[in-house]
Amino acid sequence: MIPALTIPTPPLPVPARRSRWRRYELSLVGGVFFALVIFATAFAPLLTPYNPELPNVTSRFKLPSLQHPFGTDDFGRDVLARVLYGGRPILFTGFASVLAALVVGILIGTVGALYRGWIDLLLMRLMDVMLSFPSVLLAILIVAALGTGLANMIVAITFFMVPVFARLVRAIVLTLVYQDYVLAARAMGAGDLWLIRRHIFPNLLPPMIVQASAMLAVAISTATALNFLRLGVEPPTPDWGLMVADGQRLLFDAAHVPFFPGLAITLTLLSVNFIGDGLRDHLDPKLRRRL
Amino acid sequence: MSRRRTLSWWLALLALSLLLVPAVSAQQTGGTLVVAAESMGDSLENGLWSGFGTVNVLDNIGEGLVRSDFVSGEPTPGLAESWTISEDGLTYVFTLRGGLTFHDGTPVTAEAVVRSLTRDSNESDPAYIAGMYMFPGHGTTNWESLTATDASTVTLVLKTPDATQLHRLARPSAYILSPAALDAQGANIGTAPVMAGPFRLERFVPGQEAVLAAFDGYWAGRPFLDQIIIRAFPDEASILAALEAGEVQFTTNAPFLSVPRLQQSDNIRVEVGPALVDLFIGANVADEVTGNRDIRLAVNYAINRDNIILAGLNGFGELPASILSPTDLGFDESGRSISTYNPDLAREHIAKSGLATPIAIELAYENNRFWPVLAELVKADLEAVGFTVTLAGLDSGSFWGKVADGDIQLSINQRSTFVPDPNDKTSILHSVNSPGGQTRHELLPTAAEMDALLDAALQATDSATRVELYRQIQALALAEMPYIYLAYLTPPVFVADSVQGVPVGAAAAGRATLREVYLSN
Repeated sequence: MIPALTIPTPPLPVPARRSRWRRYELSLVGGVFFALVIFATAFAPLLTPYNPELPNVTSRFKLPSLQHPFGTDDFGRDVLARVLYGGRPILFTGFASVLAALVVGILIGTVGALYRGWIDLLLMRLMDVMLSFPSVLLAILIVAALGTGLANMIVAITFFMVPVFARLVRAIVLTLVYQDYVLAARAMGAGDLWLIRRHIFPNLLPPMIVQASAMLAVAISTATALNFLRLGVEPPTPDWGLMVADGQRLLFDAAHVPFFPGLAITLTLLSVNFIGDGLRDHLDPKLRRRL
Repeated sequence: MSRRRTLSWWLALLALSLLLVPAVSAQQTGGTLVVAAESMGDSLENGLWSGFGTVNVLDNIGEGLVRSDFVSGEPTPGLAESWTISEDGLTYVFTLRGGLTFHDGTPVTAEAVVRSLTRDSNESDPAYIAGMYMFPGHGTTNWESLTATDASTVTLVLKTPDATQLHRLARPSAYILSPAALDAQGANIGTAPVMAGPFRLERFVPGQEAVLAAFDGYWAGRPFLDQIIIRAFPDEASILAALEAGEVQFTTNAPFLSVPRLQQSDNIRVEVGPALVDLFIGANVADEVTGNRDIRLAVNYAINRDNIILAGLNGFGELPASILSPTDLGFDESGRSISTYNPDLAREHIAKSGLATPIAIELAYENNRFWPVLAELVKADLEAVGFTVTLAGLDSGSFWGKVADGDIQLSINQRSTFVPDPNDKTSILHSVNSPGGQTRHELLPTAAEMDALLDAALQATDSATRVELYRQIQALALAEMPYIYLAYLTPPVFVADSVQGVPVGAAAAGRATLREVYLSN
């Protein structure tokens, strides 16, 4: 007797639309959380009645309660209010420095790739030199030289991120300028600016968005580190890094003071990384096909 | 019968005490004490020391002719067993104790004393270092001569009387060094100084720690402890962790905030020191804004010192009255009225100053201990009355660099009672000590009057005159207010429960000599 042939039944296909969303589940969670963080920091005055800077020494070290959901610190200030306001310097620094590094990086990378020769050599060796320094150390050196403050912190973070963008842009532009359609356009007399606008920039955009999202996490963590080292904003301006730095001496006696800003940093960085992963998965055609 | 019974009671008591004595002695001798310091210098050169960790080491390995008693405020015999002072207050004759030796076994002689105390002015001495100071402000420059009359007698002749001369000889810079070590090590004496204090230096790791061992040949007898390790920690949090883990048994540098919790601990005791440290804001009178007396008064009345003591010092402070501490000779209690928090009066002074509000002002502070908290509290108070305050939190080196450059308008700092004499604290009001300082008070219209009062107080030989002069000095300082007092610090001293005999008063001033400290079971 011939045994009955059993053919394994394939799993039922998940509806395409649903699987696509599931693929980006974490990115969506990250996106929603990051949007909430931006909203909360932008509209902090509407979300809390407390002044984040003014001491109220009669309310020192209150534990989390309905009145003060994150408790109060050693000055009697509401920790929730300070966490809400405290995201502003870090997020502003993160976005501003990534944007600045993106613009400068695109400029340097495109010029190097288009004109090659000694300009390319000079620019790329300069980028190599900048990359050879550890990023946070370089930022500390720049802030030490220029002085503390938000503006100088943005300059410092921009400075060490420029080579990352510049090298990536140069590599992409180098592949683009030898594409048939670009060579054809050149043969028909297209100028550099026209080429950049019509062919290079649109092709640069997706990888730059992915790279920028990845660098946003780096910029935010570096800004936090610089503020932790008291090289950024001045107290009593609330800032997550500074709050953790000030709160570390309270770790054994009032742990809620450093805990909540620390949690805000962790969750924000996690959400930005999830967004970056999702964007990379979505915008990279090879990865998208594999998924 | 009764006599026999009494005798047997006495015999029993005697037997019991004989049994107890070795036990008590065992508790009191031996052991290692680990002291946590906020910093440790790269050198133990007593003419150039910096930081209280270094002072802790010097105070335990060194000794001068005289000691300062922080409880009585009086000078007491050190290496000199006695001294006489001439009627005109110009000639001091010190008699050294017999049989004194340095840690290297060489004898402490009058010649050795003279060499140590004149090293800063003798360029031919192999251990001379340019820029070294022994007595800042009014020290060896006031000496006519210092001579070794015989092997055990030193005669010091002054140019003008100096009421605090004996206390000056108790400063670490006046500790006596072994001539043999000075010859052998020359200008590197700071790496391994050989002195005559209760402990000898066993090992020194610059910037990190010093290990001291009991000196058997100390004139007052071997100290109780076998060993002291004075170790620098990067911050208060790490000192606290080490204290709670039992790795440290004595410190004044743990966070004040942790005191309530530590007081509940079975292993740690917190003692509160006397008010020997002034916390103040120095106002740079060379600056256009802070040079305005009304602005200085406005700053004074704008500050809520109750908040400073409660939130900044966690309750370990007292309202200030003057530059002198309550235990100082001539202290004037009436000065406490300047501590009144009166924002309306502050606004009145701002209006009288003629400057338009908001008045931009910079407040600098060192980025450690409680200074950032004090600065934030002061900023909030000043901004409430019409100032816009920029805070500048700096590391210690940058802070003093900016102070020396005269770039700072307001700067927060402290002054400790380094020796218990009113001149020790008031000397910063003298115009001689003004250049490069926080206030530049030599530019004040009353500078000459202040100098004359300070000189007279220093030269006065009777206490009553000194008291009266120091009252005038305090009143004049309050009238011009180059220093705006924030609080007296009454610092907590953290000790492991097994540590006994801690000199809390001296420790509060940062001058903890641990020769009488012992470990109990």
